[in-house]
Amino acid sequence: MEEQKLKMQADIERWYRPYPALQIFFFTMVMLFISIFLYYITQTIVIPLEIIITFWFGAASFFYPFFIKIRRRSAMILGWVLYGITLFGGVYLGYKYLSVSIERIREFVLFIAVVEVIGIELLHHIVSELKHYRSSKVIIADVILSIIFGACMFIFFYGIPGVVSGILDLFWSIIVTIVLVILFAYAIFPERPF
Amino acid sequence: MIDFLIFIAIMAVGGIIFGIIGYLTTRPDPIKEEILGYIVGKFLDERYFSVKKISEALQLDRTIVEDKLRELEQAGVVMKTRKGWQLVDPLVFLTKRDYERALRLTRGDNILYGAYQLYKLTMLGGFLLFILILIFSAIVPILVLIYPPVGNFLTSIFGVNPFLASLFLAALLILIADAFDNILKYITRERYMVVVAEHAGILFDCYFLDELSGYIRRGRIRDVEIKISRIQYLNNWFGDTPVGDVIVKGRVVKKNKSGQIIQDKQHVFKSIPYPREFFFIIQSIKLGNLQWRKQNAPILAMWKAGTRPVFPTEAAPARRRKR
Repeated sequence: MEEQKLKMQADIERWYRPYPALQIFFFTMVMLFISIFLYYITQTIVIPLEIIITFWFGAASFFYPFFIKIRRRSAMILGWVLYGITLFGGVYLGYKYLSVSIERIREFVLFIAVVEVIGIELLHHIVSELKHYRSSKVIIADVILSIIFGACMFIFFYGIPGVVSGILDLFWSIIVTIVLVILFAYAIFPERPF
Repeated sequence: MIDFLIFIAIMAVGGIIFGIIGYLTTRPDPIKEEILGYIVGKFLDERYFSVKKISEALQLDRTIVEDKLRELEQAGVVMKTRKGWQLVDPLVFLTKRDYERALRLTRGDNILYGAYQLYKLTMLGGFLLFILILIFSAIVPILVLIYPPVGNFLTSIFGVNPFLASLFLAALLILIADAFDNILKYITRERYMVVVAEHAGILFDCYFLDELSGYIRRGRIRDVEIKISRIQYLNNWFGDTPVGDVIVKGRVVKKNKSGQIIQDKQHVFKSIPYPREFFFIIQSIKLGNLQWRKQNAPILAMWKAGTRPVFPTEAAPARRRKR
């Protein structure tokens, strides 16, 4: 069985993809380029180091699946790790720099919606098998996420009567929320594999 | 300084949590491998099998076998039909509905390859549109940071922090791009299906909602060729599914008053997934020898099932010390 696996790797993946060393080289070059770009940005504009680090990891997790096609366990775990770092770093930065707090409810719900969208899309990008994985648990999770997203959007557009007012009236808030929830659900629900 | 250390700690916690999730989800599954190996080894020609047979042969609990089969069904290696469980050839990249349609139209022929021509992957316009959406979604937050009037404008519309508003716009653009991608995939599925069957030859869709009306009979195939364009090379290096054009040259027999005229005609299948394997399959049916498929079926099935997609590196042979 082990022998078959080795043959399989050689027969199928290697014919289409660059050599693993070349994949790593490309990825390293892109990250080096981004590091130089960030260095020059910090020379002209004062940006906190935390933002620079999070941006760097965000770029790494965005480019990683494009360049690294090595189907090895370690490569896959590294993708997950990059995702976790980016997500947690992003949420922390949002809390710290965007003044997100429950008191400022419209900003709070908008932040939740943004984290949901970017978080799920990035996860689908890094672990592409998850896009197609269809099970009752995944569908329930997607429904719950869509409901949360819809509630956030409605509060953001309409507000909460007596607490905070939004930017649209009730009719348009409902319409815009429905459109956005459909868009969100269509994007996150398991796709057909082919 | 403490803030920065907290930030680093939070990032590390995120990395560790998701690293553990990744570790757990990519664990090799020996039972699934065993079941798959058994099915491909025993039922490649017979195709239909039952859970009972497998659980008896491998001495596994029926519920475990059923669970693993469901996981394999997700990967498209097996399929549950009215007759029971069925082994699907590993080079069939069709949805369940289309696979059943192909079986019906070929009268239950042995389908060796099935896929959709992924035109959208090599469409320059679509590719540029995606790039534009991505660039725009990144530019808006950057503009807010470096050019304050943009931020003020967003605040006047949304009434929230300008950077948060720009991130919201970016998120909306990403959702739109994803929805656009899903629509393109739907069109591809309805328009560009190709099937290679053991006896029927090559069948393909000619127009939207077609029922595989185009065909090249097995005996008429003369030559097969693979061509990979520069965009396809780029896609193969950085995209999910490797593609290439496959040109099939065939003979067409036409009758006129003076008798039969044999003409050569070629059909180009554009952006076929895994073109090398498509080439081998066509060569196999042309020569009437399915040895290549038989030899590689277990390997291909495991690759497709991604059992759970771990491929150990080949250990380098130990160097001998010079004496």
